[in-house]
Formats: sequence, structure tokens, C-alpha cells
Amino acid sequence: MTAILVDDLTFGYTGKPIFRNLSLELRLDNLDTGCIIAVMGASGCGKTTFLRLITGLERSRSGTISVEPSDMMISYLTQEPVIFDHLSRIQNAEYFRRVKAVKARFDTQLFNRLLGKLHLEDTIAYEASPSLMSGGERQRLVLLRALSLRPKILLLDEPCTGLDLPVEQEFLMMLREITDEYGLLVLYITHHAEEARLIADQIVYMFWDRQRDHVVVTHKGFPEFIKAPPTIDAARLFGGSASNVLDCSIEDGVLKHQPTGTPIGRYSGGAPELYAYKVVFPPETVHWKDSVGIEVTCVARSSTFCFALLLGSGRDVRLIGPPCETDVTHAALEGIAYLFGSDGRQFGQIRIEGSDL
Amino acid sequence: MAAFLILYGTIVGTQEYAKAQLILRASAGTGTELASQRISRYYEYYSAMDPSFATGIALSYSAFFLVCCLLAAFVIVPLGTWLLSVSARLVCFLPRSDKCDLTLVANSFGLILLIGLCLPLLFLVRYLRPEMIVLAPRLLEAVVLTLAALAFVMVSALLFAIVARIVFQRTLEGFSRRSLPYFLGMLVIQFIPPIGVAFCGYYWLSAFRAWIGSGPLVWALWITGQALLTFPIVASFIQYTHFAVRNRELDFHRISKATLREIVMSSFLGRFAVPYVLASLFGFALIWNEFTFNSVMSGVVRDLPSFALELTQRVDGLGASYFEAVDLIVISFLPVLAGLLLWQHLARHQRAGHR
Repeated sequence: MTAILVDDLTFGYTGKPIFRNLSLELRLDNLDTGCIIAVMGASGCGKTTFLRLITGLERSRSGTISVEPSDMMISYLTQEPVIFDHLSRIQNAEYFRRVKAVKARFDTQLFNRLLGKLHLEDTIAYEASPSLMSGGERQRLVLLRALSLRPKILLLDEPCTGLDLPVEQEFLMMLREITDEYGLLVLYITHHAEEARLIADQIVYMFWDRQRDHVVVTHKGFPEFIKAPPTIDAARLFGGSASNVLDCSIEDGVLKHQPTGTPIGRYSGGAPELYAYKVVFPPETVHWKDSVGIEVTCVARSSTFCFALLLGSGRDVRLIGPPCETDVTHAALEGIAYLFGSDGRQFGQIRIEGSDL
Repeated sequence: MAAFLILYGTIVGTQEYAKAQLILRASAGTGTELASQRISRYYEYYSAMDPSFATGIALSYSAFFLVCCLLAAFVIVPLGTWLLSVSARLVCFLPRSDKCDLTLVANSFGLILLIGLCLPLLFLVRYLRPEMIVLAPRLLEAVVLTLAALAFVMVSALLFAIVARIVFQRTLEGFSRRSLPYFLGMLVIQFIPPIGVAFCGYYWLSAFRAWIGSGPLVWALWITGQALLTFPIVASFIQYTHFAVRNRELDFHRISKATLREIVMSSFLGRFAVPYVLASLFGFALIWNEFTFNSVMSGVVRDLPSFALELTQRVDGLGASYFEAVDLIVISFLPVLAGLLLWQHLARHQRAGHR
């Protein structure tokens, strides 16, 4: 069964380790379908390094990274596609035919099938420089080249960077289809929750733990991750870019904004009272009402709005930020939010009922 | 970067000065004086009569040349650029608001530069004589010798630059603080011959002459010497060209388990044929015009076939013959022209492939 096994791995570029005693098992459980694991985390937390360790481009100081079965082919697609501009398009696509060590693995039948699946027949037949190809075509071409060796593990480092939305979605759908058809184990680095939502089965989330002074890696199935993201940043990532973080407390089942004491919503979960919390919620959770209590549509929402609104002294506050269609003077929280202790302790997803407050 | 430029400037400046003094010696009579030499000559002439007048005249000449220089920098160059841009616009029929085609401006610059280079040559052509053919075998020898040295330099520079790019992947991914010591180190190679001479004088040459005479090893020594002088410049140029090979590309080769030969063929040789030819032309010009080392070697080898030496002999001393010098200069353009045509052909071929 296809798997990537990380055992007690320690690695760092200078004296300071990025990963310390990391153990992880990324396995393709279901043989009928493939598995896409989104590798996420803030910039510089070691996502690309992790992929480079798997490929063997970086050597660990101690511990091991191995793949099962050991002779399995790994393909790695870097953030910017590697395309040789001095070769023709077809020469680029069939590049592995030239490489002595892997040319025996080149699968012509698969190559021809994928050529159609990835809509590259015309692009490749066109006798023009590869430098004239669009971003989407370049990504598809390198994917075709990578898959032509029939790999079982595919590592992708932000392949959708620089692609516009329709091209990105098309690429992701193709990736999902190919993954399932050929039973691939795909590790996919992305910063975008939407991409992960669209294709990921599991999430590997990395974050720098200041107390332990190294990167902590969590690995969960996608639904579990969404239910209980490991950090406030992870919660904000999936809550949208305009997610808000507020200090609050729980008193008699009511979530109160601190230090103003403004009630935000009702809470019926199991989190203890008399504890300092942070609540993370996407802007959609806030319902905007005008001065007579009628819900209105806000044309623009940003973190500035919500902060300005809820950090005020009461519930009727003046809005600061981009203008709304109407004078909005009332807000309540209602919907899904994430609750964390101010020390970073995780209390998972909560539902806030605030409309009747 | 600044240190690198200072070192490079000093070396090139010193060499240029040596050329001006030794090969194309300045002379008021032939009108080949540089501004600095004219100031110096006037100062020395008048200082014997009236030192303060000499100082005054030197200062006034300096001021005049400075004004000329400032005019060139701030008036003539911008004016020329503006005129070129206007002419390019007129040729393209572009409205004033549209962006001008930079290629056209660059080509116009190139054309003017070419005319500027060819005019003196055309001026010289009228002095050509049929007797110049007797110089051909001598120059052919010089060309062969130069090509042999060039081949050695190019092969070693290519091997060095390719292996360095692969081995020092992170250091040589671009021109940076990390790669600076590497380039400075390359430049230091150029100091080996002068440092050697400074420490040993010319004793080693007489010892060498007594030891091997003037057999093929002398030519090996000549080639090595030329390589030491040319290698750093050519190899640096090639190394700079190799910045185009990105680290992700080298990583791709490593993951693909490509052999060194496959990496060299796919990422270097096949791709940079045109820059390599350009580097060869550059290297050829350096070896062809090199004077100092040839002058030293002429003490070991009688009748060393060197263009620079031949030219010096014809413009300096009792056996000077300016007509023959003109012949030499005109003939020496032939290999350069051949190289340029080859480069042009390859560049066009590559451009056609990119379309």
C-alpha cells in the first residue's frame, strides 16, 4: 500500500531545527480511489522543506523518511513549472524518454490518454516555443510529464499560483479525477482554503510553536480538521480572509466580549466558565441590522468593520471603514465560530445564537 | 559588487594604459594623442620655461576636457537618445502617446555604433596593398595559435562553470553576496602571472629556456599563460549566463536521476550555444590583442606569431612600417567578422526556434 512514513525526523537549515522528532504516517487507505492531502500553514513554516525531504533533495539530520513500496516513483512539481524553453513542447512533455534512469518507466499508452484528458493535444502539436504557453497550459504540461512515469506519489508545490480562477478550478478538477483514476497519493501545498475544500481528503497543517521553538505538524481528515482547527490561524484560514478574532469570556452561558462585557451570543458547549477565550468567526457570522432592527445587506465587509463594531462600548456603534448602503447601527453574532483559550487551547467549533440577545 | 568593479576596472584600466603606451603609442605628429597625454606634454614643455604658466595651461586644458565630458554626458547622449526615439517614432508612424518600439531604438543604436566602427576601417581600406598577402601565413599561424588557446580556455571555462553551477547550487543561483567571493576568486587568477613576475623576476624564463628549449612545451606554456589571463573573464561571463538555469531545474534533474551528461546536454550545452559563441568571440579578441604576455614570451620563442607583437613591431622602432600595420589591422578584422557571422547565424536560428 502506498505510504509516506516519517519517523522521528529532525531537520533544520542552520543550527535551529524546523522539525524536531517528527513522526507522521501519510497513507493511501482506499485502493479504489486516490487521496489528496493538502499541506497548509503560514509562509516559511516548512511546507516546501517537507516535500523536499520526501523527494530526497534535503537530507534529515536524524530520523528517516521512507516511502512504501520502496522502489516507488515520486514526482515533484515545483511552484514554478520547470519547462525547457530551448526544447519543443512535445520534447518537454516526453522529456523522460531522454533520461536513461527512468525511460523504461515511461508509459506511452498512459501518456497518450492523459494528453487527451488534460486537453493538451493541440497545445503540444503547435510548433511554437513553450515560453508562449499560458500558465495553465504550462502547469498541465508538467503534470502530464510527471504522470507519464506512472508515479504513485505526486508532490505539488502550490501549482495554482498565478492561475486565474476558471483555469485553477479546471486544473483542480482534472487533478482530482486523475488522482482517483490512477490511485495516487497526492501531497498538495496550498495557502488557499478554497482549494483544500475543493479537493482535499486530509489536511497536514504546520505551524511554528513558539514555546517548543519548532514546527508542529498536525494531520487530520478534512471534516475533523474543519471541526477543530489546531490554531487560531488555521481557524481564520478556513473562516475566510476577513475572519475576526475577539477576546471574550463565558458567563452564565452567554459569550461576552472583553473587556467591554458586551454580550455577543449564547453558548451551550462544554467549555469552562471563568476562563479567557478567543472566538474566531467569519464575517458571514455577523448579522447586520439597521437602527429599527431590520436586517440589511452590507455591500462590503472587512475585518475593519467587525473590529470597529464589536470593540466599541455598546451594541449601537458607528461604523468605520468602507461605506455601507445604509446606516447600520446594530450587529449580532449568529452562526458557526471557533473557540480557543487565550493560551491557544482548542475548544473546537461552536454555534452562537445571538439574535435574541 | 563595488569591490569587484574596482578590481576589474583597475585591471582593465592598467591593460588599456599599457596598450596605449606600448602598441598604439601616442604621438602629436600622427595625431594619436589622448587628452591626458596632451596635457602632460604641454605641461612638460612649458614647465622648463615657466612652471606657473605650465600649471595654468594644464589646468585650463583639464577644464576644457571636463566641460567636453560633461557636455557628452548631459547634452549629447540625452539629445542623441531623444533624436533616435523621434526617428524611430517617425519610422514606425507611431502617435506621440504610444510606446516606442524599444527594439527599433536598440537597432538604431547598433547601426550608428556599427557605422562608427566601420568608418575608420573604410578609411584604412584605401591604404591596402596587394603585398599584404605575404602577411597571410604569419597571421594564419597567429590565428591557429589563438584558436588553440581559445579552445583550451573555452573547454576549461565551460567545464568549470557547469560543474560549479551544479555543485554550488545555492551559491551560484544569482549575482549576490554569496556568489561575490566566487567571482572575486576567479579574478584573482589574473593576478598569478604578475605576482609570479614580481616574486621571481624573469629568472624562471631563462631556467625554462635552458630546460625545454623551444619545443612544443613552449606552446603549452604560451597556451597556459593565455588561459590564465583569459579564463577568469570568459568563465565569469559563462557563469553569469548559467544564472538562467534555475535551482528548481537542477532539483528536477536530481529527482529524475539524470546523469551529469544528461544534465549538461539538456540544461547547458543545447541551451546556451549562442552565449557560448559570444564568449568565444570575446575570448578570441582578448587573446588576439594580448600584448604583455606575448612580449614576455617573445624572449623565449623567436618569431612568436602574435598579432599584437606584429603590430607593435610595425608601429614602433626602426623597422616601423605604417602601411604594413594598416594591412594587419584590416586583415585582423576577418576572423572577427567570421565569428560575428557565426554568432548571428546561431542567434537567428535560436530565435526562429522560439517563435
